Amino acid sequence: MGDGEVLVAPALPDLFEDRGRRSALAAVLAHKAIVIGAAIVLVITLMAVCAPWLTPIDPTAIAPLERLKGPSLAHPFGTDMLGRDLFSRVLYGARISLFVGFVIAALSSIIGLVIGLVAGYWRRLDGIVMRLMDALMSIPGILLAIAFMAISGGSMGNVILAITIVEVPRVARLVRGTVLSVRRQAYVEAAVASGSRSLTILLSHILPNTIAPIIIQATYVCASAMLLESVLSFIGAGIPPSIPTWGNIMADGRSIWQLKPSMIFLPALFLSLTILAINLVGDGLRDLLDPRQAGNG
Amino acid sequence: MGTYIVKRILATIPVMALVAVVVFALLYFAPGDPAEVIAGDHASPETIAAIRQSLGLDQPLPIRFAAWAGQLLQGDLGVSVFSNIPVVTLILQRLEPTMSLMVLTTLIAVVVAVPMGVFAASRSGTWLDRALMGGAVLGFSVPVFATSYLLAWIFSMKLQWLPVQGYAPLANGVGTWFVHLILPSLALASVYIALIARITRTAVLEVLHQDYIRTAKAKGQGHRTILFVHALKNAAVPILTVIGLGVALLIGGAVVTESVFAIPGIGMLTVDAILQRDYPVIQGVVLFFSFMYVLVNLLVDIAYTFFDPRIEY
Amino acid sequence: MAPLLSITDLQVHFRTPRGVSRAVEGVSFDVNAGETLAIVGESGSGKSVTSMAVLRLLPTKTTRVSGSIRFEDRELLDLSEDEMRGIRGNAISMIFQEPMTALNPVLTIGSQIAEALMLHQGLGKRQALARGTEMLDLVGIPAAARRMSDYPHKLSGGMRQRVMIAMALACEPRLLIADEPTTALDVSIQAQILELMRSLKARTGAAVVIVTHDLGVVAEVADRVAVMYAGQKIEEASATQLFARPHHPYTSGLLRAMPRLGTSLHDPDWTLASIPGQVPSPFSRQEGCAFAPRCAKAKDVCRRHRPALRPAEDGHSHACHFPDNATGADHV
Repeated sequence: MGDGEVLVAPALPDLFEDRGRRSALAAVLAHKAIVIGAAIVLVITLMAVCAPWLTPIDPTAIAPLERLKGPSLAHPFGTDMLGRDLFSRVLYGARISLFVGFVIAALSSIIGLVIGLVAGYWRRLDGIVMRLMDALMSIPGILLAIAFMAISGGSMGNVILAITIVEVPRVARLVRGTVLSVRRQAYVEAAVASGSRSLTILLSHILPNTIAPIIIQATYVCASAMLLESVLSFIGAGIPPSIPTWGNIMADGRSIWQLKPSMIFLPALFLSLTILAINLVGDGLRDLLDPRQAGNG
Repeated sequence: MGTYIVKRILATIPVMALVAVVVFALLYFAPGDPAEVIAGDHASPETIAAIRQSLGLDQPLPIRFAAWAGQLLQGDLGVSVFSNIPVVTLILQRLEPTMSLMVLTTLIAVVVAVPMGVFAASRSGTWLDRALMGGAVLGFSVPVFATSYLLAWIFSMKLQWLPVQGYAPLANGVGTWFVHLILPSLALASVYIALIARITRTAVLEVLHQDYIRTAKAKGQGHRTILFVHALKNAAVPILTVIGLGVALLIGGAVVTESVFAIPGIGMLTVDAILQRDYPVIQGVVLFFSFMYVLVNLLVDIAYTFFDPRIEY
Repeated sequence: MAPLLSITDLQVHFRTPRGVSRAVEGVSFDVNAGETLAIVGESGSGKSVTSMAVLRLLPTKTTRVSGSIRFEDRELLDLSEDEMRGIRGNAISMIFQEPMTALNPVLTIGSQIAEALMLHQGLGKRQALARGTEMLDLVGIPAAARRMSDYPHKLSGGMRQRVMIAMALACEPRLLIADEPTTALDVSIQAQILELMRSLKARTGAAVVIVTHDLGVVAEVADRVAVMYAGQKIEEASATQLFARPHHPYTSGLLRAMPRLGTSLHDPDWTLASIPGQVPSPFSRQEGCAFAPRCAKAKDVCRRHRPALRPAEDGHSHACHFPDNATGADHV
């Protein structure tokens, strides 16, 4: 400190105009965080897809004689208390985590988009719809999902439904905000004044403006959904314990974690790495698509 | 300012009512039958019917809702199916550990994250900024239970500095209370720190470009005072907002942290209730935490007025 | 007597994503104790940047400042940041253009005035506030004591600029730099603020550097005038001299186009009718006289050789190959 770090804006002319001549793809590829994040996601996705070829062992096969083995050639990550191969379980677990994350991201984006467009465009519905969304957002997400799961019972479909309910209001709010700001733009007002039909205006003028923020938000939803899924499974309110997911492997490891911490730390490492990678992509996209918001939480 | 506060308080009432309705509706429309869930996998239809009747689940929706809302207005969250103790009592019994955890976590998070964000902003673009913000992204990405186990593994198992699990009430002395609580609080704080630090950085960075910062500098004011008085006070509203919103993360995280560290709080109550299929307890906890979250954000709204004199509606 | 402030060959370059912006290129001028110097120019002429460079308020990371800025026999560019802090708001203080945004919205007016007094004069909080109230009184703010605990948003623009002036003068600086102090104000308020500055100056004897694009302001307050164009000083003279006999064609153009008091060069309805073209970009400054592309009198030599600043009669100086109103002595 001490050396005049405080920024003082000088009376500079507008120095930062037109730097967006490069193609979008080039810009994305030049962004280090996006490339690194996307590469990690790609590798983990490939691992998940290719799990049957990467490991010959069935992740659910119980081998009582092989219980709690340390890492070996046959079992690179060792085995759990039922003798199941942890490497297989982690690989197959990636399938569930990624699937859940991507599906929820897609579902929440689509539902949130529709709700946000409707609320932002037809102001009569706005009050009711957004009040509801606010009420949903006033319920801490994990608890909402836990309560939903506790009643619905553990299944993948219910997990996806529960987390989607948690995530939709965030997307809807974002879309509505975008719609409201786009509505005030001159060209939209002109379209309204010239008598274009509501639906035409909505689809041709407003929808395109919501794409960028939705893509950014979808990456965050994906990361958050994977986290939530693992928490639900971890505390026993998620995907049935028989299915190997990262959260379930950790849940299995809870009682013996002092004996075999790797049962917690290995899935946690993969989960953290995946979420970190998705967040990197999200932050990077926000840098590129929405410089105004860059650096915001 | 007075009217602003009164208005904010009054505005909270319909929000809480709506939250209650939404919780009720969600659990009503959720697929699955609470009576079957409570009865367990091998219950006879008669048992299920009996449970349904005892919980009033056989009544039509309006009557169920009216009964439930009437109870709620009297501060009654129902009775635990498992222990037959009123849910309110259960929650109150376990309030201290959870509040301890949340308050200590919030203190740690604010004390760490705000200076972190301010320094990152004042050094924006440097390696320090990038390292701090990289750490923040990492903080977002590591699940709370992973951080919990990692800290427990390092400090309790390997170094043996701190107890592995459990909770010591405040009444037994602040020392043991703190020793038991510090690891869970640190674990829970990691996400919160990431969230607050990022917003603080953004908010302060924006303020640092304002004319009045230049004025302060032209007055000969030092760097630190400019950052922590002139800039930070202007950035207070977004920072307070995110502290309030972050309480949702804190509540969710508390459920996990309490169960990892065996802290007998409301989070643990929740996890136990899931395993015991104790439907009224789950519903009660959700409502309790939701109301708490709404109230915290009401406090945040009121706190705005202490930092920004322009707020008066 | 040595001048109070002496700037020699000041250069300010900004590093930007678009390349290096040469905002100020070799400007020199002196300010004597007690006098008022106006720096005049269009936006982009480097006048504000020059004034900010004196207090070293430009962002350190992206700015290169070279040359010399001597104040009371100290080289400001060589001082440490700590030493510089002791000068800011104390020996040299500054008033900015935007009173609406130059005051911190979340701190009371009292605490913002007291700040400099506590920093530089070692006053305790109570004394500083008492002195601050006196200052508010002095700049003509009614109910000064009550205003001290108000926040800036309660005050009008003119009142805020008075607060800025009170803040700037609190430590009785030897030099006051005022960067467009009246630009953002209503015309009627402008006159009041100028009048206030003039009376306070008479009282404290501070030298004033006023940066403005408003020739009306110049006529009102300045003893001497330096005209800047594209980062260079192109003419300097006493105010009377400059208005009576401008030498540089740019200055002549400015004066011809000056419609009446209070009209600024930034007004949309004001056009440099007699000066076609626009200020050259600070990113690519060409050879020769920077004004040549817009100058009706420009010849080949103007486009090839940058005219040096040369002295004329009575401390008048200009940088032009073919000056207006020149006496015979100028042309040899």
